[in-house]
Amino acid sequence: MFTTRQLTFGIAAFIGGSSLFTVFVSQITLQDSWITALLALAASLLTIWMYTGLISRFPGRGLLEMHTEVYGKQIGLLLNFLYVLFCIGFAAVSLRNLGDFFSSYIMPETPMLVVLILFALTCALAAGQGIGTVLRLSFLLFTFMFLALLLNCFLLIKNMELSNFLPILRLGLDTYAKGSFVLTAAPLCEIVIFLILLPYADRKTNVKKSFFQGLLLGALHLMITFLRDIAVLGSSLAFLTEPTYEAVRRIHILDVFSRLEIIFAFVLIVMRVFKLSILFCAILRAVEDTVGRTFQRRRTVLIFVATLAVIAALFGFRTGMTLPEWFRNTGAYFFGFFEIVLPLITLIVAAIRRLGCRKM
Amino acid sequence: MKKLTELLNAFAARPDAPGIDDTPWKTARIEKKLDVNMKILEDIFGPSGDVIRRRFRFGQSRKQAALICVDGLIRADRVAAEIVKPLMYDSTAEDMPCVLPRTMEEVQDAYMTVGESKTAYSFGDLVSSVLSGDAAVLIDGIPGVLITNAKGFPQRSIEDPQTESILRGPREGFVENMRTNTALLRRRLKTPDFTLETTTIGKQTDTSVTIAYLRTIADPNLVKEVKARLSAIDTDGILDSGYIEQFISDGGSPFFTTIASSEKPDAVAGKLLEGRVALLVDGSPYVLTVPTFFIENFQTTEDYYIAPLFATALRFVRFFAFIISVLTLPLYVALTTFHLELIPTELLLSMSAAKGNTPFPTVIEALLMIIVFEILKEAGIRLPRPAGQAVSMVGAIIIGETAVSAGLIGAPMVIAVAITAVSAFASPAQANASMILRLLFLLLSGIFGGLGLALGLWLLLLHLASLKSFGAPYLSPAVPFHMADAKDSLIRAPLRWLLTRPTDLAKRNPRRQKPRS
Repeated sequence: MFTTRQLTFGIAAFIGGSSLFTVFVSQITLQDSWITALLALAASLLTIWMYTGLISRFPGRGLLEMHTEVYGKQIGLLLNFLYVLFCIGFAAVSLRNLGDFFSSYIMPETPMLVVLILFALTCALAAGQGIGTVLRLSFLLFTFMFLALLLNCFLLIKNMELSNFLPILRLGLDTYAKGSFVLTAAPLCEIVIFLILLPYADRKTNVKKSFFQGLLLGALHLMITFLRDIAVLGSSLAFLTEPTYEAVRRIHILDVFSRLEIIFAFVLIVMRVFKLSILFCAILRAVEDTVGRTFQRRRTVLIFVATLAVIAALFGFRTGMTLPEWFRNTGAYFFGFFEIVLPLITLIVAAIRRLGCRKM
Repeated sequence: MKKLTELLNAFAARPDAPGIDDTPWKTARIEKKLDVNMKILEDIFGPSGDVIRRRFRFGQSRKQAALICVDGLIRADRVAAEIVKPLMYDSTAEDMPCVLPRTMEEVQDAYMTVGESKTAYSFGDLVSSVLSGDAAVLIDGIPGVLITNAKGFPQRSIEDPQTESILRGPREGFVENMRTNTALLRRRLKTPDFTLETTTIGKQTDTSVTIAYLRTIADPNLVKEVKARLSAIDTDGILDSGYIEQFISDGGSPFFTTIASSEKPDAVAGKLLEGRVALLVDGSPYVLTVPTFFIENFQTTEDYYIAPLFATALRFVRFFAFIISVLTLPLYVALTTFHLELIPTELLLSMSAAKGNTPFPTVIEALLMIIVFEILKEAGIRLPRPAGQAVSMVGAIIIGETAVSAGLIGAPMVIAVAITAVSAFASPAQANASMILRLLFLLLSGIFGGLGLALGLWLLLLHLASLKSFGAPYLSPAVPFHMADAKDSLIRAPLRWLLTRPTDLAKRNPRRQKPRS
């Protein structure tokens, strides 16, 4: 069970949990990434508006429960199965991303498998505590993350150059479109995951408000991250694989404040683990909805799911360098399909079939 | 006959055989005839030498009467002056009514000068009263028993509590006698709202347990829950409030206790005023309060007696001491084993110079050192004081000096362990938890480095967030966050800002004081 505030900050932290990996976008739209972020925010707001249509039609239901109701049993089952696969894929991408970051920056000698297993196991254990417990920490974590971000922005003032924002609006229209689509698909609209978890909401939870406020808070966090990265790194954005980490790395004030990146990395890793824990909760719920019963031994299911995710993460990508490229050209479309297209179709079909509550 | 005894023995040995609470005499009524009653009591008490059974004659009627009490639990002079004398002599006085009393109530009304006396009619009541220090009088021809309070047994005087030393504030501490403890609380809470409800727990020890709360402030559901959990206890003995703590706690955490205990009446009174419920257990100077928040481990009564700024600073010191005591060693191990590049170069150079060529890996060094430290600490607590000094000498010289100069253990490690040890003493409330957590994190960071540490911390945070203490979230007011309560969390705002009681405790009566206009 979770309340409005927990959900709001949960969504915000879920989005913010990806801010270590803004490379998906910053490598293509470079110094104009903040414009991309604004465009993506507009697109996401539209998507969330579409979600609220679904939420008010089927109050108290999860996305997967809506499927069975809207499409009937067979097609609903198929869609739910696809969603389970999508969630596991999502977890695999997140895990792999984290694993790459670890092997290139923090523990280069440790085999990636160990890192992945540790992360997946931790998140599975965390998800075993239930979504209520995980989300209870959302306010605390988001506050810490946000304060850390503001602090490192402050420490980086010395390194910021306004000229780094120039030239402005020089890229092609298609680049902006692509960039904002990628950003919408990940991380902004990844909050489709919370639609699956809606049945756990407290009766008094104002879900729609949470979605909007959470999105705005998360987007604000992303925006500040982008602005800071651009101001500090400028044109070198094009070849850096972890711009956020690189930016924080440049903090160097009088030999006192230096090598702080590990602390910020620590904060961001905890956020990413938080995100993965929520994701695992959602996978559990998705599996339960698909097979149509609740499990007694949730931990076993979770560990099985974690194993699948680790395997997918380990063998799905050849090297760390290919992941952003793959995501930009292929992954984002998969994500977009599950985050935007399918819910939209569900809403339209529900409207045509006049299912759920009429009143919007 | 022999067969029958065997059969009976076999019956008694069965696990579902009736326990002491099923013994038939418990509900048996007291007879009119004194000799019959005395015979039954003979059977109940057996050959115990400390149970006094003195016969005397009751006033003008010259009827047989008997006094039953336990030597050592009563004050002999009071029994003689306030019970035996009125019954033997005052009843013969001329102005006394000549009508013979027919019931124990009449005896009580006519002769008893002691304030606290009552009548009872079953052997169960008689026996439990006598064993808890009352004096009982049986009179031939009158059914029932007259029970009079004449308690007087050796007890410790009220002293400065040893485990919660303070610089400023009241120095009284609870003692083992529950009545003294309730009086200490009553002296601070002079309101009829302050309610004390007593039950007894423990089939053999029959220990009194008092539930104390403020009727208009504490949540009635909380009081009900406490009573329900207490009545669910079915054990033969309660020897300290620690027993109660373990029986009624929410469970769920092997590390943290979710029930606070205190030796200080002012601390308990303060918690009662916040809407908590206190449990006083006879025989234990530690009073339990529920629900308990994690943050209470870093708060002391003294915080409210000194200026807010200093109180806040001290709370932060305690909090960080806890964190340092848990994380210093694991962080040190993770940094020196896995993340050498994160240590500034000069520091790294001086550290490696100081470490020299020690034979063990850092994590083994750290494990060895904290095991030795725990042994030294335990030895220091258990040993008689003169020997304790010897232990600390050995610890300081051998471990601190010789181990380093012999090249067994690096000097930075000794520093890290020393910091850990001192910090652990600064937040004594969760000392056991920090010991276990330190060990766990040490293993995690020794095997997986900073990654293991980060993931362990995440799981610990989740674990803390999942805990409840009597329905209240353990991490309150941080998780869930309450702005109003944040004023008295790690921060201690000026007293006149503290307008409300903690949100998760006193929903019924949240207002503490009016805002100053």
